[in-house]
Amino acid sequence: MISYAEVMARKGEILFQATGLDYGQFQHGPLAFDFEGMLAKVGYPLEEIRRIQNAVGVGNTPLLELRNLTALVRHLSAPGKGARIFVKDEAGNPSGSFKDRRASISAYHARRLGYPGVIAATSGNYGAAVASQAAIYGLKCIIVQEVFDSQGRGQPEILEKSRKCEALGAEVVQTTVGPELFYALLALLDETGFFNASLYTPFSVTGIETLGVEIAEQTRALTGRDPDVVAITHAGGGNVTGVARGLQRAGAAKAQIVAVTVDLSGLHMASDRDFNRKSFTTGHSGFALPFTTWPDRVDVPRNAARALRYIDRFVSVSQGEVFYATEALAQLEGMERGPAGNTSLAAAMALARGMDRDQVLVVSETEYTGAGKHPLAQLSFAQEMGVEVRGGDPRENKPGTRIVIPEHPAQMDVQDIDLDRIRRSHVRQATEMVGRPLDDGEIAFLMADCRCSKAQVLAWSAGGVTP
Amino acid sequence: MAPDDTGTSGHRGNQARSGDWVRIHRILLPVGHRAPNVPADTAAKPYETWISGFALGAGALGDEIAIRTLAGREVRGVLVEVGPGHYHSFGRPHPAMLAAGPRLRQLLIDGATGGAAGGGASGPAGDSDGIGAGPVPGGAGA
Repeated sequence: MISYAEVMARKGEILFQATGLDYGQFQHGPLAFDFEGMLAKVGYPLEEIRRIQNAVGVGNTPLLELRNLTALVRHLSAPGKGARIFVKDEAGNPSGSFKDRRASISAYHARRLGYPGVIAATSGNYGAAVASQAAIYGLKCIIVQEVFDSQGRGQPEILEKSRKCEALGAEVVQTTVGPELFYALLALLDETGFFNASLYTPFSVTGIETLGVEIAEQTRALTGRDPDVVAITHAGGGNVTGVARGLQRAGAAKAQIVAVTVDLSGLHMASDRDFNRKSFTTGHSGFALPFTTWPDRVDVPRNAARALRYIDRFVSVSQGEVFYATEALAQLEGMERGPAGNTSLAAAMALARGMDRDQVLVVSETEYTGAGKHPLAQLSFAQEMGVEVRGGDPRENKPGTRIVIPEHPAQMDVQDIDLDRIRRSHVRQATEMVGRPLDDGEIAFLMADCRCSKAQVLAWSAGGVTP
Repeated sequence: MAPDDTGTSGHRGNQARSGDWVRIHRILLPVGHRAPNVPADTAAKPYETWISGFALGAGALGDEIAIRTLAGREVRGVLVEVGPGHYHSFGRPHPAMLAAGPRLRQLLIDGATGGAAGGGASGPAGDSDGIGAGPVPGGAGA
């Protein structure tokens, strides 16, 4: 295989061949680009997305009212409080997660453009989604996954994803820990001429808008009102971006967008030692914090997933609370579902307590579960890796050291993540990258990218504090 | 760990014949040639890969062989397993998780009957206010 440096030097050319997208046409200088223009021009129109997805059984999943969890939360709440909790059962999609919405458009596009195959670099559900859609469209498929630490121990959840991709007919390239996943992806794209079914292209991200539209339509049909809060599990930003845009398109723009991530603070995502000391492989702060702060760190020149444009509130939950929510969903609602959706469900069980009884909180996804993904597997593995697991106060969760399962639902809570700190960091990084005072176009771009005022952009850019 | 497999093919697990489903290993980036920004513990290890496919010729464990992958690629690597499988599973329930379900169910019962754990007042009729608060099955006079 050719060297790391050689491949990275050719990354622009390789990605252009592999996506068919000239990102340069939307770019204005080193920083600013026409985000809305790119999504409008490159993304598929909503009605076409619906048609494509309907044709392959993607989307139109049930919106379920969680009556027992709602009742439970109300008994913990002050009089008149305790919103109705609903969940969008995205596990009903063909490969078991909302990622099918993204993959369906990527695969359709690859087939339309005549690529012989598709490649995705992902240890998550997106790999299975791409493999599933590739099977439908008769495309060859390679999924590259970071699976093992240097001792050859695989994260059980990722082993399950490898199994599933292989079962769906994809070649699975399993690697050890490291950001060189991007290098492996580029080398494979170069060798095969396949399409880069990236999570972060405009077609992939706009494919999720139907999820937001359905949430709005179904909530109205079931409750007679728009959702008041939509809790969205957040890692790379596609889910938040797509759902928020879909809600806006459906006229439900007043819904508060709450991004929820699992707290993995203290663990380094590229560390061989830390890799298998986490019990969550997606929807966690190891992705969410860097991706929210700087989205353009991905396998395409500009990321179409730009969560900071849409997040109203950003919160984290502990690993223990998500396991507890998983158990609550299974035993009180009769549904076994995987960790990605239960992350937002854990937040919902706390958030609903502060909302009025006639309000509606929608958890935007569920995902499938099974061997490797299930708490039985994850907690056993955690203990094998020397992580302590016990019941108690979830505030005592310590990523990599201790998982604490709540003993009472009243212990569940969310921790707010300071959005202004993230915006400031984004503006500072942008300014450093540009290397000179920002021009008007760049200031306007950052105002949109951060949803903040011109005064804030100027203050943060100059390194000062917001006036 | 994979069970010992002599299977119907009758051959031992350390020899692959052409067409066998096998797993190969390659080092993509040796130590010293990794990305510049990886942490020290990761940088001290090579960046490795494993791929499964159909053997394009015979070989013994440790031999370099070629395979045909499910994407139709021909890839070379060191044979590390003949007849690889998937053995990730579930596990033993932890006491803290076993305790959660029954406790939650009891809280729901207590709440519905206005018992010890109940805190909030009952809402207007038609709201979700207790166990099994979905539509009532059947109905009177069936």
